[in-house]
Amino acid sequence: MSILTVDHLEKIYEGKVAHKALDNINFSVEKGEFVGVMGPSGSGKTTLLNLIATIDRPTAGEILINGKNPHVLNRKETALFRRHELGFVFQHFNLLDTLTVEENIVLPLTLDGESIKEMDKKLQYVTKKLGIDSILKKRTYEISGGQMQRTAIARSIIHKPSLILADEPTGNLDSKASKDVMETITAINKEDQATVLMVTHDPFAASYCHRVIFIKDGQLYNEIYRGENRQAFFQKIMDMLALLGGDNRDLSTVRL
Amino acid sequence: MTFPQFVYRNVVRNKRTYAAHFLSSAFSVMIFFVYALFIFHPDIKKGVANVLAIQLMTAAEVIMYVFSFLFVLYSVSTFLKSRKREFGILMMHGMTRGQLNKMVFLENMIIGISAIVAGIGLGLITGKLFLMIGSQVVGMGDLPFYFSTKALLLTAIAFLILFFCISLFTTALVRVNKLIDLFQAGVKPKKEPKVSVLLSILSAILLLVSYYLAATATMQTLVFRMLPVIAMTVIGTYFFYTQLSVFLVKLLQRNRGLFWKKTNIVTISSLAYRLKDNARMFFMVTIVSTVAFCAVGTLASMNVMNKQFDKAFPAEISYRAVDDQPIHQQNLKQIETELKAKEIPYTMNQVQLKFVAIASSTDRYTPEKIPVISFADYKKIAKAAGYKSIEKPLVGTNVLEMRTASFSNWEEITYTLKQDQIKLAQNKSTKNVVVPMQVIFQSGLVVSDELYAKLTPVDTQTLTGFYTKNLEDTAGIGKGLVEDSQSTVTDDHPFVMAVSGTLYEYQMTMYKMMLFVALLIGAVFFIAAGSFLYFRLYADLDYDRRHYLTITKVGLTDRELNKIVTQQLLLLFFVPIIVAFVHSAFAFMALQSFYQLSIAKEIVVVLASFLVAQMIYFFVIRYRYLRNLKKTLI
Repeated sequence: MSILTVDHLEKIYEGKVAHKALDNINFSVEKGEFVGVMGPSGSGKTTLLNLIATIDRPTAGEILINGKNPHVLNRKETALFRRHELGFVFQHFNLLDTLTVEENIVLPLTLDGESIKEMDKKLQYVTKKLGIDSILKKRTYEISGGQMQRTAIARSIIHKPSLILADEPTGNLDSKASKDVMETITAINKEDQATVLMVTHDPFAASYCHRVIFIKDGQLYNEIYRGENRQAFFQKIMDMLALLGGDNRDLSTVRL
Repeated sequence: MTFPQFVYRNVVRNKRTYAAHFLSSAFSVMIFFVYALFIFHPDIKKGVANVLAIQLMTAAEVIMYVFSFLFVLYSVSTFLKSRKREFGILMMHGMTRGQLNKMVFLENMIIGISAIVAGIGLGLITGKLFLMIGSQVVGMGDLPFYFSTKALLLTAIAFLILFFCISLFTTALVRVNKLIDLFQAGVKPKKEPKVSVLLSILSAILLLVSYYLAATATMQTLVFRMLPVIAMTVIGTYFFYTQLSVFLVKLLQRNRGLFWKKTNIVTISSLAYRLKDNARMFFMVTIVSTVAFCAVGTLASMNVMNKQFDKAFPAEISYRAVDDQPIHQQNLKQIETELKAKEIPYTMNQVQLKFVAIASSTDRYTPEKIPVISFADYKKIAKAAGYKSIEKPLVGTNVLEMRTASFSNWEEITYTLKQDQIKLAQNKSTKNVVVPMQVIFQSGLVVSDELYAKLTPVDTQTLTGFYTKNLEDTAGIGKGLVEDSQSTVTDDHPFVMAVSGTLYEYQMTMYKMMLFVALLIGAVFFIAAGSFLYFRLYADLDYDRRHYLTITKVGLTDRELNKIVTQQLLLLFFVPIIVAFVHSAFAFMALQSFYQLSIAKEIVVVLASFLVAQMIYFFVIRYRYLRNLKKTLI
């Protein structure tokens, strides 16, 4: 069964000038897949993620996560849904700066009222895996960008959600930290069978995905699969981006 | 961690954000507690004069409580607004509405309880100081510091209830429909303020009419006009801020020559924006400041009543004997002895009062008899008292009303005496007080000397007056003869005596007490007004930072930034104060109708001190705000 199904999704922003951000988006993600969404600025990728994450409401269409449509739930059920089924890794980390690293990570479990023992067990497991068990007691302004992002990742997986949503996870990081983060996400995806949907404009980050969906001006444009080699996939992504950004009459630069 | 642990840590580690809210709550608690200490102080409870003081303080206590409620509610709602993004994150992680409510409730209770503890603690420390000042003011000698458990309990319980209710309220204030609104709350640009010309004109009319009514009020009309004027002023001020000021600034914007000149473009456009946004805050600051000014100003103006004392008592000690008993000689001798013992130089005179029978009068209530005094005797009293008056001697049946108080509303009355049905028409009053009301107890007449000789009295009494230079010196004289400086006629007390010195002391004490209470209330209100400004400023700090960052990228010197910020702060700080000044000025004009002497000096002192306080506040805040802004700019 697909973990995520997006069916005829549409989002129009009302106002003095109405703006159609997403137009007839259809795709699905299977369990254990690592899917990337790419597109130029203003293409609607963040809007798409916001809709899936229940942060915003679609104007038309349906989203099914694990067979359930989160947008028809009442407020309490939505909150529980977020707590149990979704995990978030966002560009600006969205950590609470009044809490330490470990407190940030266990936040979803705290809200669920889990026992301290259970929380500790899961915390140990997750932080060891991500290599941040040494900074648990530190505050968020005392750690580096890469560590902050790994904290966010830890928070997003500690409650074993069905779907992990990532919005530009490498956006604020240098190349080494980016590599660390992408390898971490790949590891979680492989070892824990965690399904990941990642929005990015960084081709390096996208090359870690199993497949990448391209969006232009709110509409699906193309989709390419990884195959065996990550470097070749990286090149294919670059070519697709060049096509997206340039004129249709440009010759493709696919190397023979 | 557990949920309560989470809430607790969230609060404790966010001290910067909560600091202002915590401090203002603690301050409210402290003032309330100090007042309660006064009210429950065992030493203050004794003393008849202080019953009024206790009543006043209790009333002030209630006012303070209601005000604290509104004030804390306002500061809490300001803080909630600035935390929308944080709430978005929490809800994104699956916090239910119920958990959010619980969190907000717990936070408020934690802060509230800490504020109560801090406020009471501060109150205990400064309580001694207040008691010292208070006892000086009341003139009671040093009040020892008495720890009243009643005061403590009252404060703690009252504020626990307050914070509990507010915590419940605030959960209703957090509105969550779409999470994206919470995230974008700080980033979304604010809508352009819209203006209704009709409401602008309405506000102008309301204000002008209230000013006119206040300025032309007399003592009689004041009571009727007071409530409508207050209502009109409040409504007019509200629309003034939400409508008229935006309208005016928009007019400014149309004038390109002015608008597009140097930094004006930034200042004026931010103004138009801010005015609508801050209209409600301006409105509250103005009303609260006006209340503070009026409270203190009204009480300060009563000082004038003290100055008028001299005019109300021609003789510093008056003694009216109702018959001819020898006891009067004794009493008068005693007064003289006491005056001599105190080495107070004095003069003494005696005049005769004839009580004549009245057949009828045009007054609502016809007395059986009224006291009459001859014009020559009136002149004698006036001269001894040192009053200068150039009144023509009376002839025939012309009479003057015998003035018994500095300001009196006498009416034109015609008396018909039983004796020969003589008609006496009273249509003017003497310029000076002849006999104080406290001595004569009724109105009377001054008649021409010839008529006086002809009148046959039903009763004759002797009025003795002792005249000294300073009325304060006579305080305490004749203590054995009168308690509290006044007396009523009884069988073993066949005389009426008034010692103006003692009366003056009494009035001064009352006045000082009321002034003390008013000052405290005025200070609290004024500080609250300042806090409103502070909250507003710091709630918008994030937005302002981004705003100025954008402009600096275009190219803005430090001096220009200072100029823009200063101009805006000037308006934010002083527009409400000036409007409050104007409101108060008209209120005082109405108040002046109560007094003969001018209250201008007192009013000016009060308003000037508030202005100075506001200016100091302005400079302090401006310095800190600019420093804060520049931290993010390069």
